[in-house]
Amino acid sequence: MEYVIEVRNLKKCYKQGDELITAVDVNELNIEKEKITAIVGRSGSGKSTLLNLLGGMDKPTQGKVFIDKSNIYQRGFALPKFRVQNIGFVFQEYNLIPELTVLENIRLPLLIQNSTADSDHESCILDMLEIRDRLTFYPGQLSGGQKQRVAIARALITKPAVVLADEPTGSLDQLSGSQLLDYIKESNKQLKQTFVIATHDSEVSRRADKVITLEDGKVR
Amino acid sequence: MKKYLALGLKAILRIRLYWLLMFAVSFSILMPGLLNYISQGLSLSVYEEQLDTFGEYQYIAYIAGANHELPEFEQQFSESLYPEKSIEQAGYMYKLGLGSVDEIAIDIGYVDPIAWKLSNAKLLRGRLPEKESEIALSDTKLYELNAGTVYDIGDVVNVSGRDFILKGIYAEFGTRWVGGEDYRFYRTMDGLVGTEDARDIWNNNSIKMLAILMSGTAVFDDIEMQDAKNIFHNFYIDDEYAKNMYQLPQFLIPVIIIMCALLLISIYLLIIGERKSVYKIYCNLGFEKREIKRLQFMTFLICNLTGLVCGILELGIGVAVLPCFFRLNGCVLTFKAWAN
Repeated sequence: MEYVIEVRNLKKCYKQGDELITAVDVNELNIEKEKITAIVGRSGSGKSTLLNLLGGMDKPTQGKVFIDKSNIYQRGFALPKFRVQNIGFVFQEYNLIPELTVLENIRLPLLIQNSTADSDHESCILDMLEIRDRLTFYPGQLSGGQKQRVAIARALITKPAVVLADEPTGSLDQLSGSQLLDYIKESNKQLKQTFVIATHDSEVSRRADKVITLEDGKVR
Repeated sequence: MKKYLALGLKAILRIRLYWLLMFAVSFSILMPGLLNYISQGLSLSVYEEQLDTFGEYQYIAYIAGANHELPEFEQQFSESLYPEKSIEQAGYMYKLGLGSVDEIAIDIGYVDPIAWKLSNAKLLRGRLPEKESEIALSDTKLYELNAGTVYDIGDVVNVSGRDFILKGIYAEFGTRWVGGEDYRFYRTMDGLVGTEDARDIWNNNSIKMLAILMSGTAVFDDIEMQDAKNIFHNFYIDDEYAKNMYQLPQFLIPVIIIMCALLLISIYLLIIGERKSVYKIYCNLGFEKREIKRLQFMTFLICNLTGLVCGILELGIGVAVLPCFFRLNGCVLTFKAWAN
């Protein structure tokens, strides 16, 4: 079994007044390659914090996170560059840039790393997510489901090792949420893409290959 | 650099900051417009006040004095009025005063050869006066005079008790007294006399008018110029209103500078403050902090460069408009040069 993410003794603590709160405390966690893994748990259980730690968007108090065997919190590690190249993000609130068109939003990570799109890959994503006819639209002209598909396309465009999605269906109605999961499944199948999804949506956990349940920051 | 330029430009041109550019452009157009409006209003009111105070002829003498005070401006003004003409030498035209022939009022004037050449005046018969006691009359005035006595070339015409030999007849031509593009006067001269007579009439007549056909050089002799300058000087010293008008640009320039500064500050605050969420997204997608700062700087730079272009245009318009402030002083009395 091959793992794309490996977590060792990961801890994230916050200070709230005089009290020290442990948001995440994971001794060992492995995310399988080319699978959809759902991180579930109640609100405040540390799902989003864990996801941010996995993606290098937050610094842990202690511990190690390996992505494709690279320890991303190692001192001197070029995390921003690594993040752009190896990790795709999908956010609950889509996080599309309003003044850029759909196509420009999708290509934005490539622009950030000064590279150009692989036209076959891009074409495959656009067809798979059925957004080809919306490329010249602005985010304000799209529905919630369409925006999230654009966000997924943006996450996939750099062929990252893993796509981290934080409540991707959180802002969508049930039907749109279900359709989005179909698209994620399809991406996983066609592109052999690893997805890690933090969610409290039961349908997501039902359709995931693996489910990790968090309770008070610990894996149950 | 390319990516910052692309993202900054898109941010400005598309959604969020579009209105900002509109504001900058509107500001650039509005300010010169406002300047123009204020200056025109003031110029007109001062002009009207002068007419009430001194009467038309003195006003014209005043302007002649003013022209003498600002020859370089007058030169520019003439050049802007007659860009197609490149005449270095001034032509001039005096309206010397009002006389009468057989109790019919007649305006006596003098037109020098250059002014004559440039004007639309057409000599119908005879020639222009060259020697002392010679006169040319307009066909219209001659027709009017001929209702009483028949006059022809070579006849003696008594103008206000002084005899002149009628040497020429010309088609009546109008002198348009120009203030910028605004034609306010229309004057004709019924009779023209030669240089010697003109000087004599000018010095002995209390009613004087002067038209400068093409300006840039002195058109008076010393005595005449002093005469006009005295009138101008007295008026200028006494009239606070005219002084205030000249001070107006000094007041408006700081206002414009303050407005521009406020505009720049607003742009900066909008770029940094209003778009925090967008920069956060860029951060999440992999932009480093220094890259975000570059992007902000580039956006700011584009906004300012646009402002600079607008400002240069504004300056151009302003330069075209600002002479309105000098309209009072620079109301060059001239008549349109129709000659080829």
